[in-house]
Amino acid sequence: MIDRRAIDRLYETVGSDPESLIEMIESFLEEGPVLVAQLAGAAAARDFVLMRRTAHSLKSNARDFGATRLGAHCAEIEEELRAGQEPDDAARRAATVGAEWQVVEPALRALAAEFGALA
Amino acid sequence: MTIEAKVLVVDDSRTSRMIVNKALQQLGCQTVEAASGREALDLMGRDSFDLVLLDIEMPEMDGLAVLRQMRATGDRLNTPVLVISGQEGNLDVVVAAIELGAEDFLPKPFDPTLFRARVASCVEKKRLRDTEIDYLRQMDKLSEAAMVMESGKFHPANLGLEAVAARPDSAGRLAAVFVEMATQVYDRELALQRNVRTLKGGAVLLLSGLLWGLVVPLSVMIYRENPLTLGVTFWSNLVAGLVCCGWAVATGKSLRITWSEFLFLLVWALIFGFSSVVLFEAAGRVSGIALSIIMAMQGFAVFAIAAVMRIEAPSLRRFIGLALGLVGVLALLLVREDGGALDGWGWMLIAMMVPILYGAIDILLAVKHPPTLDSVVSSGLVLVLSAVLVLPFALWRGHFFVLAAEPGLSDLLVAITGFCIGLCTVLYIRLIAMAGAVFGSQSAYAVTVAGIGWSVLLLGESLSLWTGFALVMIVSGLLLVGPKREAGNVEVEFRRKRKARLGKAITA
Repeated sequence: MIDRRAIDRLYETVGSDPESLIEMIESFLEEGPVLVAQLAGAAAARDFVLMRRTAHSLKSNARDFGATRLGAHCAEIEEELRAGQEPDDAARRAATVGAEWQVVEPALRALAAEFGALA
Repeated sequence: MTIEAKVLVVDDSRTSRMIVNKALQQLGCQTVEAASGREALDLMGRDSFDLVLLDIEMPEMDGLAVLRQMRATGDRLNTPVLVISGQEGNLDVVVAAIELGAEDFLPKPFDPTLFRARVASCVEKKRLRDTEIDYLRQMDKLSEAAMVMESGKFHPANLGLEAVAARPDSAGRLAAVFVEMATQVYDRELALQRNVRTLKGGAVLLLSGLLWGLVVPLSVMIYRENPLTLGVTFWSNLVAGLVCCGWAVATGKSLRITWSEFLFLLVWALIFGFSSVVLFEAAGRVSGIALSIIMAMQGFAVFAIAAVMRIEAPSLRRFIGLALGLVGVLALLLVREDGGALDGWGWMLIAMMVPILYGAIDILLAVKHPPTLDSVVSSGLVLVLSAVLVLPFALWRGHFFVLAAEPGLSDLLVAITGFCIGLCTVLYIRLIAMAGAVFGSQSAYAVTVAGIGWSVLLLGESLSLWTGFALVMIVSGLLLVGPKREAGNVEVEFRRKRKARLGKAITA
């Protein structure tokens, strides 16, 4: 679900400060659903530019927080769209990302709680 | 070790910005955030940063557009940019970013060690570049100073190198040596200028002194031939005035004056006319030598009046000088050269009014002379005006005579005296313009010495021991009173050898 090595690296990058890490997780927990909804909306409207950019942002954040599978889904969408393909199953692809977010979100909350105990 | 730097973080994702921010703050950096390319450019326009961390993928204006814009405005090229790119990274985009001037790229997710190394390296490079730019700027200032020196007149204080010379680095040492050498050149040139002025001034001083000194024995001779002093004053001042006005017109000066200038000249002419009458009257009763010595008192009069009016600061040295002068005057009064026929107490005292009145005129000129009025013009007009003022008194007292009606020695003497006064006035003004007022005031000695010489030659007088003593006292006193020092803050010209060749090298 969450690659622990990525979290450890991020933790080290911010000076092993649990409060900073929690703050960043919370920021992603707020921003993540917005991006997921934006991705679905762009897919429905077949706005592939917005869809690619949203997938890029979500991918970047997912990788920072070790959400490998979520990152991989987003990367796949981004790559396809960057290559100029216009997928017929855009909505389904967005839904896959949405479903993955449902898995990532509780894992991130668990992580925040774990580091909250350290703070 | 912390990295002290001000970093601009540009990313449209709030979470991503937060990660970069916290990573930078952990390194000791101060951070400023921009959520778009436009905002980043705006912030860069208002503030300076040591580093920009720039996300490439952004809506509206992406990272590459930001780089292009930074390149277009050359002054922002000095700020290093690190672009943030994904791990698998679109290599083409990274290459494009570097081609547009980005320093390097930072792969995401960040590796703490690599992140620190890249940020530290960029900030270090920025510091070196800043130092380099600063150094070049200082060199530019040095070069500008050299151009100032080469292009013509300069003053070491106006080379603008104080800040550069105060730097502890090699540019500072170079500037300090440059300023020191410029100062030495300046001092040498100044000394040379002074020497030249002294030499030129010395010649004019001698000539002017010889002519002025002639006026006193001539006045004595005139009185012997023609005691109509008011008429003598009228003619001599008129001739002198015409000489001055003629000189002024010949050198292209206008004789037109304003009403307020006329009032000033009138006051001056009243004092001068009166002093002329006194001089011609005293010339008959006081020996040429004594009168010449008395005339040297002008310097004391100037100092005394200036001290009373608080125009110049009195000092102990100057008061000692004044005391010495008074001893000399007393010696003159006590020792009467001609056993009573000449040099009576009363007439000696009356004669002393002349230098005192001249001193008053000096002060009047120093304080009130209109700066726009040419000195030769004003002197010429004053001489003519004083003649006009004396005329009614000459007529009333029956002193008026027509010059050259019956040409004789008396008429010739009056004409020569007038001519001498006129020429001396012009010479004296030229002397002040050439060598300064300080140098000009030294003419008092020349006048006195020449007056004594002429008196011996023309009047057959001799210098007694006591009169010699009086002369020494008065001259020593005058030296101590001394004139006001002139400001030495002038520019000098830097003379170079092989001027043309150096000039070509610089323009090349």
